[in-house]
Amino acid sequence: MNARRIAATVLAATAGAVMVIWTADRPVPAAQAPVAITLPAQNTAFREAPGVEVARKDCLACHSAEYVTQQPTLSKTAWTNEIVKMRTAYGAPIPDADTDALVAYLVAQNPVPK
Amino acid sequence: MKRKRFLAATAALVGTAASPALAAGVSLPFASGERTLAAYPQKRQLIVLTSRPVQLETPAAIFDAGEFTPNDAFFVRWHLPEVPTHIDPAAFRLKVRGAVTSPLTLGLDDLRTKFEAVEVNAVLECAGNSRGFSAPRVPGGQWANGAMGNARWRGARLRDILARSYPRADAAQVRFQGAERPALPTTPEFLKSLDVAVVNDPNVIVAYEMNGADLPVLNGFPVRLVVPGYFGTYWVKALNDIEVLTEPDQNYWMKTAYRVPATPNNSVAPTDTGFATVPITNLTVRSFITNLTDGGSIGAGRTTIRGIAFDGGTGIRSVGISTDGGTTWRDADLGEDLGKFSFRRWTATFDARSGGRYVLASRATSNGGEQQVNRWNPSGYARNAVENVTVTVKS
Repeated sequence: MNARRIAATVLAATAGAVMVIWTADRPVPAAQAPVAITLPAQNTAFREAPGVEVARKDCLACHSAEYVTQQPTLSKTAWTNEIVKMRTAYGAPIPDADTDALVAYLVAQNPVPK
Repeated sequence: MKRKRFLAATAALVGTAASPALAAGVSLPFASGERTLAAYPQKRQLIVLTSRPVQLETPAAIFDAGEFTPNDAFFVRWHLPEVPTHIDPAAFRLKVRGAVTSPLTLGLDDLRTKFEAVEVNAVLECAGNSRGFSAPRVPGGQWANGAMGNARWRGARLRDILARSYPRADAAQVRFQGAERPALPTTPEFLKSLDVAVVNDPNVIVAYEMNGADLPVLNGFPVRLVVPGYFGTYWVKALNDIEVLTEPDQNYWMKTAYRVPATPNNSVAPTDTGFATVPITNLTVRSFITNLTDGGSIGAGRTTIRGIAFDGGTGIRSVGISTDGGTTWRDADLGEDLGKFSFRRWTATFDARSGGRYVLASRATSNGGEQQVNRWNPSGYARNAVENVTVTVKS
């Protein structure tokens, strides 16, 4: 048993899992120790404009602000379609009463490129 | 040791995340192309497309360094906001169930030791790669050209795994799910399905290694599906469930999303409506100039043009190079053939006159005869237009 093999056995035992004891004719899996990462908080930086509070309330439960801020200039129809898609395809609880304010905010937030 | 490294990466990240106003940025070459750069866990500084679900783009310069995209530079694209961040490989299980005679529950060491290990060099490309260049623009993730990468994948053949479950004779498709989850119970789970003929392709593997190392967590650790030649939407990350279906899958991600017009080149006019659609499948043939930048300046004299090319699984036959905006073409020299699913490097040279201006372009042809075309569809999928790189020569 080389050092890596021993380490793998010990880690497996620590994890409390039912493990095979590695033998010479069986390669040691490279990954057995638990791994953890921490992701940064989502970006919530919607542009300040009339209706921004509706956008915060209706959008951020499922996705970050870049989903909106990075879009190109889109028509009122295109943004309305996106809201309908979020509501019907993705099950977002966006009240019908919010639609007009949301569309107005979304249409205004990306200016026509120069 | 490994864990320590992750913690260090995480700690380093906190500074970046806490002060976005001070974060480094980049401007992609289209309207609303301003992006931040950030080093996520196990990743070098990448272009942040979205922070939740996390989507990261590989900067263009990476593709000039070699045929293989380093794991810490490889792009990231999750569909649902709850991304797995804590993984115990010892507790990991992959289930095979549905229309099978013998359902399976496999651990990671089962995948590594009970099945023949095979390797394949293959390009992973997002269906929406380069969407930001669509003209007219379309809604969706506004990627430049960095939602792609090439890696050496190692794992067990999917067909070998499925064979041990003895799929029933009426199996029609196989459905895959990973560990990502929606934020709301009303949002569809992320599920993707492949026809039986595709899952029986010996190149399709359940991969536990990427470029000789564990997969980064953000690329699907501990295992992901690798479907060489197919767009990334099928390469399910953190794969833990395989279900054999007896009918074509009707779930949202097959029936509604990731579909292209059933037209020549999957292309329509922006005013077209009512056309039939089909699920997207194979990558389209593409090439990129990697060592010169559009709008850049170069020195006079003999100049090397270098780049990469790939296609949906037949390999690259030739790459044409133009230095006059596509009026005349000649063949580049192809680099080492690393397999029909891999990036293929190419080089060419030209004499740059002092004070001159050159519109450079590359145009790949696959062994299957496919060429790069201008296409447009409402989702901005499968873009593979010939792109110009204009350079001026210093006098």
